[in-house]
Amino acid sequence: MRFSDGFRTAAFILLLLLALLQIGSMLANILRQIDTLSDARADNQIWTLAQAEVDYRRLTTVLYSADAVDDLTEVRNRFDIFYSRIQTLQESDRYTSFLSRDGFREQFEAIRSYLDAALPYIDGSDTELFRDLPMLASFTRDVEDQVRQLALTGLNDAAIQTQSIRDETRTLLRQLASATMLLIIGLLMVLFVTRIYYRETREASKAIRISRARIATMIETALDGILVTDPDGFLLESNRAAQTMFGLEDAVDDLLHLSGLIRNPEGPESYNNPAASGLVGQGRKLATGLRLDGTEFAAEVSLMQTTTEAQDDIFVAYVRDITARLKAEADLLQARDQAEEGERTKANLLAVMSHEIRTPLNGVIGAADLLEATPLTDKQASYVAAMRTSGDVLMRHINDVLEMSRLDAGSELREPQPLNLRKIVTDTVDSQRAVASRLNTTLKVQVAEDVPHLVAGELQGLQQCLLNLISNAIKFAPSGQVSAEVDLFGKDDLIEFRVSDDGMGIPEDELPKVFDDFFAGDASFARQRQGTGLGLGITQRIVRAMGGEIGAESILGEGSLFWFRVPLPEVSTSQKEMPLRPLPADHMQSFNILLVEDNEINRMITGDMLRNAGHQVTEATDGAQGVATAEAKKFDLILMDISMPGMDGITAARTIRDGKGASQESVIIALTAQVLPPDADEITQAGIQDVLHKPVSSQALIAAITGAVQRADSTTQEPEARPAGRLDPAVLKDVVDNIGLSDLRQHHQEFARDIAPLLESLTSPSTLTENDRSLAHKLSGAAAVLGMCQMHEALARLENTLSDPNSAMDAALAHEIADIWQDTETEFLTFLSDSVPKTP
Amino acid sequence: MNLHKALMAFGLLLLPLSTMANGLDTPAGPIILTVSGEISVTNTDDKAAFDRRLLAQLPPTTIETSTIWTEGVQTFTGVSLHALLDELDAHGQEIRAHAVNDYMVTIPIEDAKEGGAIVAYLRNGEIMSLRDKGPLWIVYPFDSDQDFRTETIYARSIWQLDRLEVVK
Repeated sequence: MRFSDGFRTAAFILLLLLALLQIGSMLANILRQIDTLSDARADNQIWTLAQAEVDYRRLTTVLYSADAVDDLTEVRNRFDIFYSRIQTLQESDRYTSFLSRDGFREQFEAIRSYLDAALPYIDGSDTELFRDLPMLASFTRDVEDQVRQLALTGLNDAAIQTQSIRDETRTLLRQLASATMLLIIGLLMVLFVTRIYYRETREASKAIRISRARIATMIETALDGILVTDPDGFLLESNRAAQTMFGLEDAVDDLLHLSGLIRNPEGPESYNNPAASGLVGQGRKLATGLRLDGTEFAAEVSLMQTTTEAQDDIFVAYVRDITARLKAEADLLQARDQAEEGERTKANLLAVMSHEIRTPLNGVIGAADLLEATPLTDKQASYVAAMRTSGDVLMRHINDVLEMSRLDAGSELREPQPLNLRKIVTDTVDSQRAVASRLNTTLKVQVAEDVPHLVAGELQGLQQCLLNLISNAIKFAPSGQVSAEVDLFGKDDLIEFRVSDDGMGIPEDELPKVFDDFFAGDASFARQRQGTGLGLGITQRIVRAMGGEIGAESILGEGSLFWFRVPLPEVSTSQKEMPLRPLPADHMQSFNILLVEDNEINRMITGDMLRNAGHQVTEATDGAQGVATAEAKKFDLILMDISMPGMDGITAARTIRDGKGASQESVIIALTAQVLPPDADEITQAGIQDVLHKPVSSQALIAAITGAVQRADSTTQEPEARPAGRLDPAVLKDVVDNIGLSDLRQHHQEFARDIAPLLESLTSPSTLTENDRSLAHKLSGAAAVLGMCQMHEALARLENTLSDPNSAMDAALAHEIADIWQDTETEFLTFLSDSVPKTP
Repeated sequence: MNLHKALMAFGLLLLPLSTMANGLDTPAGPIILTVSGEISVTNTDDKAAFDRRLLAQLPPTTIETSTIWTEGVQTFTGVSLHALLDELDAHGQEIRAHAVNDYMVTIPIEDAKEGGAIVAYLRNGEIMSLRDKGPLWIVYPFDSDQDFRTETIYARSIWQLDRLEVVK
């Protein structure tokens, strides 16, 4: 059991007090005794007793010498003095001890008896006294022995008393010495204990001093500024860093308030009142530091509250000057921006270079194509084949690089369309069968039963990824087997595509690098396979752009498995699936085609490709000529180069669409050598159905043509599929679902209000103006949104009519619009009233 | 009331002046105290002789105290040594006190102070006979202070006093 310091101290003090009390009482006792000794009550008994004998002797002398009456006064006086002395002995308690003693008492009694007996004589008349003097003298002499004995007894007694006093004094002195000794010991103990406490206190204060010094050093050498304020925010202390930071050296610290040093640039909280600021304990806060010279700096402040014994609620603010950091961040941002700018410049350079390289290369390949079709000797044919092969390889490389830069430039994938997944996979695999069979590779396709029939996805991207992986697998598995499998991944609409081969496999250490750009396994292999090594990199980019992920597994010597998962949500089968871009077709239709191309070589080659495919081709050398030709004759399809001097392809296409020419409705496909195609909206608005990137192989060209014409055919059938009524219920339902009935009603009212002036103008068609055209345009769009399909179509026609300065306004159209509006309005109001929820 | 007090004060002021003016009366009765030596006021030769009446005319002081020579608390009435020497305009350093019984003791002049020794002529309101340590007894207020209960003071407490001699 260990006692606490407090208990120990209390016990010690108690002990000390007891000892002091003891010593005190002893000293008091000694003092009392000294008192007794010094008190003269003891009297000089010897003297008194001796004096009694002297008085007695004087009395006897007077008694014997008196021989006249005059002497009687002296006799009486002497008697009275003796009497008084004896009386004193009797009255004073000093002599009680004597009187009570055996022997002494009898003698004293004898003296008293004498005095009593003598009194009548003394107090008697002078005559009688004088007469009896001899007798009185005789009486007096009788007590001589007793008086003498009295004096002697007193002497003896005094001797004894003196001895006793001496003994008492000795005892007293001994006691005094012991008490003093005890006191000294007590004092020594106190001294000892005090010394121990002093040492402990000194150690403690030393420890505190050291700790304080450490803390002070820590604070002083801290890189952050530290400001300590009282509860009201007035500065109490600051460290050197803070003084340097704020320029405080010469300032009177206690007049400074925290808000004079730190300002909160954001939010309403201020440092005026630290306690109520809401900034305490909030961690690092951005702030503006205010130096005493008025300049400012960016700071980071952390405000804390501390409670000390001396003062509660002091505030401690740690301040960091972050000017340098902010500058570094800004520099970093600038550096990044510059780097990005550099990247963009590089991408632009690549895009520009593409045109410059691909156009002549296209010429070379095209010329080789054409040369192949002419009668050649075997040797010439082999040269042409070599030329053709080299050209194709070069083209593929360029295409890879450009595709890469196109993806890196962030060209967005197209909008998801309804896709038939099975057909895409099957077709893609089928397109590779020819290559596979040449390499004696077997191809297998397996699409799981539960994979949806129709999904929303991006056709080109998906085709490209599958194609890249499958063609890659075929390359790596000559005389082997390649399988393409499709499964539901079972999460978030993810569908997993797997392409596996039983080829040579990939070493484990190279597996993580397969998606790196320009990775092609070992160098000898790369040469053998003639790849840029960009295929997988491109595939990875596309997959990521589609929001998916890609990966590879492989066992060296046993084969590889590449997989990617992309989100492909199922769509209802009621939606029309996206027609597939036809892959190589055996039988081609023959179309009447107008080719508008300024580059002579390209025009010749592309024209020959088309003609070889069995189409009739008319050529135009620039935009204006193209427009004129299209106006004069109806073509099934127009191939329009976008970049042309004078009127460019887009303007030309728009002019054809807007005009009244024979080919107004023809399919228009744009050709471009630019990697980054013109704005999609611009293309759509110009009425261009598809864009082909140059150089175009004959296969791609023909496939695009076939696809576009087919789509155009289906488009022309579209009106028949339209609902018979004035309103499109599907669109209306969609609108109601999305914006609610009340908003729809409001839009309808706005529409009715806006169309009124147009209907008014239509009563006199000849006065229609540009304002009316733009009104018609605006209303046409609104009608489409509101599901007024006939109104939309009629207003669009009106807009077209008004846009063409050459066409006269048709009165019939005005009537038709008025009629349609009347019917539409009736139907719309019915729809609105029907849609109101019925109250029971 | 105030008038009465004022008259009293006035009377007290006049009293010493009248005695000073008249000097000390000549004693008519038996002389019980003779003061000699360094005094300015005298009535017989160069001494001041007092009978009981003359002593009683001086401002009286009463002490209640016990003594080591008597039983119980006693009441002593007399003139204080201070007042007596004042009256006689004494200028000595000490007083030699003589008793009828031939006892003599020297008392320093410092003992003649307010609250100090008195020359008692009454004990318990009665005249003291020679047989009863009279007629005069120098008494200190023993009970009032420890300092009065010493051998020295007891020795100075001279009874059967009949002469005082003021010396330089």
